[in-house]
Amino acid sequence: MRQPFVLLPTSVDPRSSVYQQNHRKNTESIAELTKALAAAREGGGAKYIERHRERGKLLARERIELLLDRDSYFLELCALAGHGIRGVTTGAGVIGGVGLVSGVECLITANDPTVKGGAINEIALQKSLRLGEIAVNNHLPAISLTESAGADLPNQSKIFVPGGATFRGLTQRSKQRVPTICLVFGSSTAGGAYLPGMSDYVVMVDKQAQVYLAGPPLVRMATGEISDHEELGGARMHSQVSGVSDYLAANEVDAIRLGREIVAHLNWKKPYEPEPGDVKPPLYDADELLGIVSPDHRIPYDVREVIARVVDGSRFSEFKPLYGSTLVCGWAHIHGYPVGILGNNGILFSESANKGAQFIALCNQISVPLLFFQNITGFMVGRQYEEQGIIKNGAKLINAVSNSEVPAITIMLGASYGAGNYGMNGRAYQPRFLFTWPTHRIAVMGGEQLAGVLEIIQREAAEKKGEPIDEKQLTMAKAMIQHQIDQESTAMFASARIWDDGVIDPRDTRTVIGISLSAACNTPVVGTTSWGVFRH
Amino acid sequence: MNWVQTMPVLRKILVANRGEIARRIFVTCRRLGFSTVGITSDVDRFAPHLSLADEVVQIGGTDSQSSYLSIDKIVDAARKTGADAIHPGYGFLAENTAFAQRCEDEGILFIGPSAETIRVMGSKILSKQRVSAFGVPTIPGYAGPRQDTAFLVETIRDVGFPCLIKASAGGGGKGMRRLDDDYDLVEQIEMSRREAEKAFGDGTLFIERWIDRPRHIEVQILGDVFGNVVHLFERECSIQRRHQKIVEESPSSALSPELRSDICQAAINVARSVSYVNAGTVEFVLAPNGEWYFLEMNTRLQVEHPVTEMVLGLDLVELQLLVAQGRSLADILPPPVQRGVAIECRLYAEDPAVGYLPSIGTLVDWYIPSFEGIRLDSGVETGSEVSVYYDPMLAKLVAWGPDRAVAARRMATALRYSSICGVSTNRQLLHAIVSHPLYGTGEIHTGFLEEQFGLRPAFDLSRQMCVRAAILAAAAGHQQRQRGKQHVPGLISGYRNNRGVGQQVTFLTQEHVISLEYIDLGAGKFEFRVNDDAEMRRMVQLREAVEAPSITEANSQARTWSLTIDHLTIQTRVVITEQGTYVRFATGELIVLREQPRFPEQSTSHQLDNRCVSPMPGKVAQIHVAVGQSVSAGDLLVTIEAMKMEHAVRAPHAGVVQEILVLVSDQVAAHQPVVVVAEP
Repeated sequence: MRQPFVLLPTSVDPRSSVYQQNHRKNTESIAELTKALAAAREGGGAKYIERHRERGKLLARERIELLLDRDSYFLELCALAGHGIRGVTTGAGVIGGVGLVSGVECLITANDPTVKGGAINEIALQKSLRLGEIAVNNHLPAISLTESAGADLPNQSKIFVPGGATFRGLTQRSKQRVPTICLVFGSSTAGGAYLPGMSDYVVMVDKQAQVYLAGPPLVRMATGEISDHEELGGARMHSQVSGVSDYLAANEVDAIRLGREIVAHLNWKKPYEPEPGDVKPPLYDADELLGIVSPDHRIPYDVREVIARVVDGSRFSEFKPLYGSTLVCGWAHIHGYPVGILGNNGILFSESANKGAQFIALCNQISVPLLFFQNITGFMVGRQYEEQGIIKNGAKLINAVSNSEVPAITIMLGASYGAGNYGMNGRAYQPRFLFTWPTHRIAVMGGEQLAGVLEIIQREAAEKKGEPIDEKQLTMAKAMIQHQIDQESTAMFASARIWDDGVIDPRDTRTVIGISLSAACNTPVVGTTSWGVFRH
Repeated sequence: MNWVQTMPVLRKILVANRGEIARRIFVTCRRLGFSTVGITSDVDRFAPHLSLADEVVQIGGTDSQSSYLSIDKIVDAARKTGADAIHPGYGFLAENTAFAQRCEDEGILFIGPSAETIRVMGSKILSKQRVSAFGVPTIPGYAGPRQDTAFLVETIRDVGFPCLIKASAGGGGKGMRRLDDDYDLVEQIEMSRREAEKAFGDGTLFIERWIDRPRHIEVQILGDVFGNVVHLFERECSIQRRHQKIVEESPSSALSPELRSDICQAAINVARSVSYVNAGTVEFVLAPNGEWYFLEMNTRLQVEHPVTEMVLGLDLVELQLLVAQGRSLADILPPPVQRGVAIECRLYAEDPAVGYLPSIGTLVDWYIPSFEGIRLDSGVETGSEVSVYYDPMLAKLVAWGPDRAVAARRMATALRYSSICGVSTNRQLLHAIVSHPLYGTGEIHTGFLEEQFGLRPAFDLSRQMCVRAAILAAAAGHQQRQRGKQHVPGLISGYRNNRGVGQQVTFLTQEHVISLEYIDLGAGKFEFRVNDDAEMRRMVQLREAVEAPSITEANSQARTWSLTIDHLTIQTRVVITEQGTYVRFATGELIVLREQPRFPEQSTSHQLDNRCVSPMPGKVAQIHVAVGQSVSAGDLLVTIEAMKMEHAVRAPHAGVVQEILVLVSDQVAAHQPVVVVAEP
């Protein structure tokens, strides 16, 4: 037997009313997610899609589908960027994700020209930078399908300065032996011209690509020279004269074929792949996750029930099961990849924080990737706990998380409040990938708690000044702030701001982790034994 | 016993043939303890039948002339290997007087009749004279020495239409033509003559009256050196395409016991007329009114001899070898008794739908099921190349049954299950024939095939069947790709966290374009959408199944799947190759699907209308036009010889010959332009 780990038991009763109720509510939130994702697929809407098609062009998603190997997966990333943000369409006019091209795991990005001609706004820039970060962190060759009107000019102030990082990133990736391939389907001008300009390989589509620093009107204004688009920046000129393009594609399909051909010659070899063998799926149905996990974060559940529905064969080798029980740690395999899992089973105490820090160090010692199942309302508070040094013990966990060098993936299952977010490898701690479940909530604290805290502070202030409290106004203010905080801590709100790499259907958790782990393993998995100074 | 000393000593037998007949002879030789020698042309070097020979001599050459028809090379091979006998099989040198004579001269035993017998019976003219003297009736016509075209035209007009032109030296339909009227008479005569010369080295033709709706009855006879001649009953070979037998059976359902006795006796008389030794076949034509005439005698083992063997429980090759050694029929052959019915189908690499155009290529699947009563005489296996150089017959499938209905049903089932991929075949036509109600009644004649199926029998596949095949091809292709999958192999394929579309694939069948979209649901389950019926979601499940036992070698490329679409399950066999996917349903359909490439190759040139192309790979036999010549639509431009047949390249439209792109004897590929005819 490949892994003599223990089969996790389950105590789920699918007939119970709690299970049924959870399942119903979770199904509703998945429906909401599905709706939001559908909005992402709509791009700039029917009218602009029609117009784009009339020009005989493929839609951005069609280009991606054709670029991908047949039967390949495509894990779309940050699909909900900009969702619900005024002036930004869902997805922000950029589509990105990981998929197989000529058998190689690649990071694919595509401008959606049906969204304001593919113009780059602030969210689109953030998303592009995040996608670039994923490519560089995981050593994924990147292919960008470019057709963009350039900067969203009225909002240039929000993108001009940070936007420069795009081009620096491209050449730095090149230096780090992570090739970049740019397929130009349309306009890529001014600053945008540096996108092909800084890429390792450039393919331009004949009679479609337009790549120049300044278009004919601007040139005429600047120097009086009269020129047309083709002369100035057409695919033929760049392929035959300037050398900005390496390959001239007859049409869009040909460009995609060339892109696949380029990847095929990259001689790409992953440093690590699991032993080929029979990967056993979990013993329990992933659909049961919807009945197990309560959308109400105050109602606890055993995170092992989640682990049992994600890991190979539902087998788990638990570390320190009798110590610091609010943080479950242990080893398992996912799609054959070994992982060290940390999952919250309640708030973090000193013991659980210490256990987590030790576990992360152990995983680094043996170079095993980490997986965080984050569902944390915070570290324990109170006099006794402060006396026991909850701060220094929490700091040990954060130290370990910050300095760990094995790939880590974080799944936000439910709550993510306070410093718990940090200790459990939140966004700022740069997990390779971070995904959330639809019922996930993220904030410095819960809306109710935050409103309660504000009430106490206001009452104390009023008391100090000796002023009476306007109860009615306070109640109203409390309700408003609670509503605002609740709104701003949803998974959708977070995902729209690219605080994660996507909201996923909980039933897809195993699949998404499998793809992410496999992508992450394009870098060598080598743990560290050096850490920041631990305060004991 | 003193006959032992006079008997030829037979130890090692050279088989001067190829394919299924060579294999069949090797098998008997081996069983009887003879050493065997095979010969091979350059083309056949790796042919499967050679693995049954003890020694193989590579005599070289590609076409028949330079290999299996080369007397010098074959005699040389026999001498080199010390073979003391040659079995010629059928075709090639089997009825070649010069060859039989050469063997006699060299002291090599020729397993067949004497050179003199071959000479007499090989000439339709001489043979008719000879048998008439023995009181055997012959068909009215002309069989004489005058061969000039003008005379033949005259004679044809005298005998009247319809009439037949035949090659005096030949059989098997080569050089044979039916003429219904005066049209193109000269050209028809000359084409027959050329074909006869090419096939038999003798361009002598004869003419005979056409008998409407005749049946072809032939009698197997056997003679020994002691003057004993016996008959082994009849075979009926009335199912013919282009005068070539494709379905044969024994006994004939047309013969009453009296008629059978009369015809068989006449056959014995024919054999006696030439003091026949060894196995031979006397062919008769039986008119609907019961009259019958001698047609010709074939002085060799016939292609269709297995039906006689199945019905009589004999091995004709064994009997040939025994009489060739001087054994008396009285000692070796108890009185034969007909038991049950045997039917033989000749499987050809050809496309009936385009006028039986021979088909060449690699057999990517060769699977014939093994059922009770089924015999397969085959010279090919999976991976065999079917070349332009020789006859396109792949194999003979024989079914025996206690009665005709059972034999026909067994044959139909075997054909239905068979999977022959990589070349077009007449499998479906054969299936249609043996399942035909009229065939079932036995009401057949030599025009049956054309009458019931036309000149170009086509079997249109319903779109529904093609859609099923496309679904299967997509699902089976998917399963194959999954086996070699890298990166998270346990993952469900085509996963999308943002579910938009499924995997798109388009297949082309001969008539249909079928676009599909599928989503993998794991464990062989799929959800399919057929694009022109987008509303319809089909739940598909694929399970690995067990193929019926087979006579043929296992093919590692072939998979047997049980395909469920919604609520219907069909057993299937699928072979996926670079060129296409071959799907055979247990209901008999064989569908070839080509996957539309996701990335089409950039086409650099397009076919110009004024280029006339060769219909198939072959050799330029004759160029009929010159540059600058004016031609009308339909005029003969070039004759291409391929698969021992002549194919005409005709002007597609009136115009002037602008360019001739080939020379006589050039090898040309299929669709290769040969002549450019400029429009006026």
